[in-house]
Amino acid sequence: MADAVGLPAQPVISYNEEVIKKFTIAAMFWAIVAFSLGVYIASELAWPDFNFFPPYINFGRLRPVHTSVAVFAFGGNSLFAASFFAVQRTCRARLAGPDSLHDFIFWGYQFFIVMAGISYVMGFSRGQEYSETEWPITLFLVIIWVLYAGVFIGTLAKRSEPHIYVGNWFFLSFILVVAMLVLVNNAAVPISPFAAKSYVVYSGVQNAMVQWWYGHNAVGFFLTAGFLGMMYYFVPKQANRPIYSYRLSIVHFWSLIFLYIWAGPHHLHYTSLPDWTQTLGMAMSIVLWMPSWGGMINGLMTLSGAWDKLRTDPALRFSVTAIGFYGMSTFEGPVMAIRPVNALSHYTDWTVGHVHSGALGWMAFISFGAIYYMVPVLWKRSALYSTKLVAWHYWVATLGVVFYICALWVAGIMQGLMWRAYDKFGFLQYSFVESVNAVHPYYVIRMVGGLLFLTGGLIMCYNLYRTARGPAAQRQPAGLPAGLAPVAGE
Amino acid sequence: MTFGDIVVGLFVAALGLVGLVLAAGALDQEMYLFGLSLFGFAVAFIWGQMLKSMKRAEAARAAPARSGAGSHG
Repeated sequence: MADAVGLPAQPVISYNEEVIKKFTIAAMFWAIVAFSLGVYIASELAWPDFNFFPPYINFGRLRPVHTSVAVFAFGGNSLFAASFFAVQRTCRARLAGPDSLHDFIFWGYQFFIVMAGISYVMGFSRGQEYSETEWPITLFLVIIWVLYAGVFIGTLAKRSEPHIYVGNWFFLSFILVVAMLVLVNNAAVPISPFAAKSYVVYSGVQNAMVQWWYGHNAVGFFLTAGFLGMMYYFVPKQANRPIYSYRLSIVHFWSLIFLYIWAGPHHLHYTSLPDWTQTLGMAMSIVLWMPSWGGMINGLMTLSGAWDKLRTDPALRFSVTAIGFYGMSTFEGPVMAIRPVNALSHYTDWTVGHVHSGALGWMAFISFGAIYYMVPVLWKRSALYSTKLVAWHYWVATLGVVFYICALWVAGIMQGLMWRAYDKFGFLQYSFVESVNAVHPYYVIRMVGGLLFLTGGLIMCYNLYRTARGPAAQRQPAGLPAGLAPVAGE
Repeated sequence: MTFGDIVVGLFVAALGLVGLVLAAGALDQEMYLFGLSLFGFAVAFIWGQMLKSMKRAEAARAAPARSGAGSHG
């Protein structure tokens, strides 16, 4: 059977979109929680009186809740939604396994996040950054993750398209490497099968090395490879253009995968880690700049011939700005990994600013772009409720990121310079508390930046809620179909 | 309800039982809370799946009835 232009007719495939809808709603919910917590703990830093409440909400306990909710809850749910959305369409296959399994992955992941948050607030922690959960909660996550990998790989295995699209390679590397990282870094011996407390099997500097091998590759494979998968599916769709260079995407995929895994030791400069290991980590971090920019160039050049869409489609603007921030933070990272630069930047707020230029500018913005694209498709609407609100969200959020990172650049460099300043007698010129006082105005600006970002998130939630709930008559495209470039097969 | 749904249901039920055992023998507050919560999660999940399955079955029963009424009308 063939259609009018002689192409063979494709069978209609019913995708499981219910689970993607759930992940999308969860992503937005956790985004607001993460941004609100961020604003609160930023206020605790600017005005320490905010800490004098019950211990459950002091900075030490809320900070891991904020990071986990931002990365694993908001970022994780966005990645689940985007990967399930993309893999079904690019493979022309329904998700592998029964729908109840997909539901279990969704609800199980939310259960993990809630349990992790409650345990941090109660004061339970392994004390290892981005990996604070005690073993029973981690083990539950491993079950969920293995099932997720099974569903994703199963869908690839039963695909009706001969080719595995490059976006799926990025998603697959994210899933497999995160599994490996979690298993290795969480190797611990519980004091009893009935006690949550456990002891890490590594000790001393080996533990530090494994922790930062995990920590940096959580950035590399959760926050980079996964979101690059998102970029490779949604940016060409939004721009309605093919990827600029498919060959470049393959080359930068394999080089990124090979190089990222070595860069962890740059977190441990000037420590008891052997010098050669620090140098290796620094060198690999600098080499990593090129594959990172391979992705940025490929993403931006995909817009060739479609730059005009940025004027009319603010959702695409989010994705493109995200790629810009990705390029900026993957340049800044290698610079900060150079040992003499690290001597100034480490332990200062420059690092916090760098992380947030990646987390807000790259991870959150590329997720916003994808979510603005997915919601009208999933809820079968012809357009978003309001393109103008998307534009408001864009400008408010961008202003928020700029406030945030500029304030912390200034604060961080000032801290680093104050800590190393000597007077003519060879004594430290400033006491530590003087550096704390000096950064106070920048902490306030950082909090205002976070508040703007939170405001943008609330605007987005309202817009998406109205898109999903609005009556059909108001869903006609108003000349600016934000995030709704034609989608093949949909 | 498919065979796969039953396997998922049994697996989650087993997790719920593990949760109860962990809570029963818990030596610290975190394990107690985690075990009980895991049991609660399993009960809620299976309950939700049962409701969903019943709704699907009801809809499937109603669909031929509706189409039959249409043909007589």
